[in-house]
Amino acid sequence: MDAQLKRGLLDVCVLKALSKGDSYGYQIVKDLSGYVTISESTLYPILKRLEAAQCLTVYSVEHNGRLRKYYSITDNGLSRIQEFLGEWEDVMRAYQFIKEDNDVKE
Amino acid sequence: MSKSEFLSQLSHRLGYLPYEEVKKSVDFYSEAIDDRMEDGATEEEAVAAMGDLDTIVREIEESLPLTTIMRQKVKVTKERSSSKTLWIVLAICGSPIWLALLISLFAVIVSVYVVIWSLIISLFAVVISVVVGGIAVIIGGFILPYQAISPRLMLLGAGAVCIGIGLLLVPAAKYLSVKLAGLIAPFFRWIKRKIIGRKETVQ
Repeated sequence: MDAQLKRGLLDVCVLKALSKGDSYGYQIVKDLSGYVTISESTLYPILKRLEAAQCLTVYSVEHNGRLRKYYSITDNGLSRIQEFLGEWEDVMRAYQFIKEDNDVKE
Repeated sequence: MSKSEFLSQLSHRLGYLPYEEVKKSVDFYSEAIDDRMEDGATEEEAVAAMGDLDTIVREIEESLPLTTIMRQKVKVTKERSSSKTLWIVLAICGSPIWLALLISLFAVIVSVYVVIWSLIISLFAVVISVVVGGIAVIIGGFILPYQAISPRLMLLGAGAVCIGIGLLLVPAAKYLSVKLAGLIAPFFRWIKRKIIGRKETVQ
């Protein structure tokens, strides 16, 4: 998949996972594992990028004698999801058009 | 690899970055490994799940602005031998260096472009000069005194040979110029790839 496209998709996937409630790194990887290929090494820069874009905030919670970072989605993050859905309606329409055309030829 | 080995290798590889940046990354991976181990993975498995260190380091580096990375690399090389004041001066002077680099990159691009076109122009200049030289020699043959028959014949012959060679060179020059002009587009594509290539390797 195109790198730029994949990056954009993963950003929104992470936001979507957070929209269901605050979560931490490994939990996010687990939640997304059924839908996209994502590992900690991919997730880390995404979380950083989303934090910089003020789409999420970070706080630490003590867990089993260590600190665990939780990520919480912001209004910015929520509207980013909405934006994505809006944009992709157009993409899906185009996709349907391209797909139908292909089916007819086959 | 054990967790502590993994983390120490990671912080070693990122050592040239700001302390804050290294700590954040190490904390993140430490937490991720702990979480996987709590979930039932062995230490070995949890570390392996993080992926290979090269990818991890590259992802972290690529998430930072290029200027941060460059500044840190400069800082690390200068740090041992220089005072803090010098470093501050360097940091302030950093931006003009970038501007200068940018201008020189642009200059290099323009000069390659100019070189290609001047090669084409010089090719045609050679061809034209051979032909013009031939014509001049023939004219020279005509203005010689009437009695000098053999020099006149020699000049006329030499002129005809020059014109002939010149005309023969025209297709060759045309062919070469097309080839040379064809180099321009790939060159610009190559430059662009060099500039944005790094970003495209991101997963």
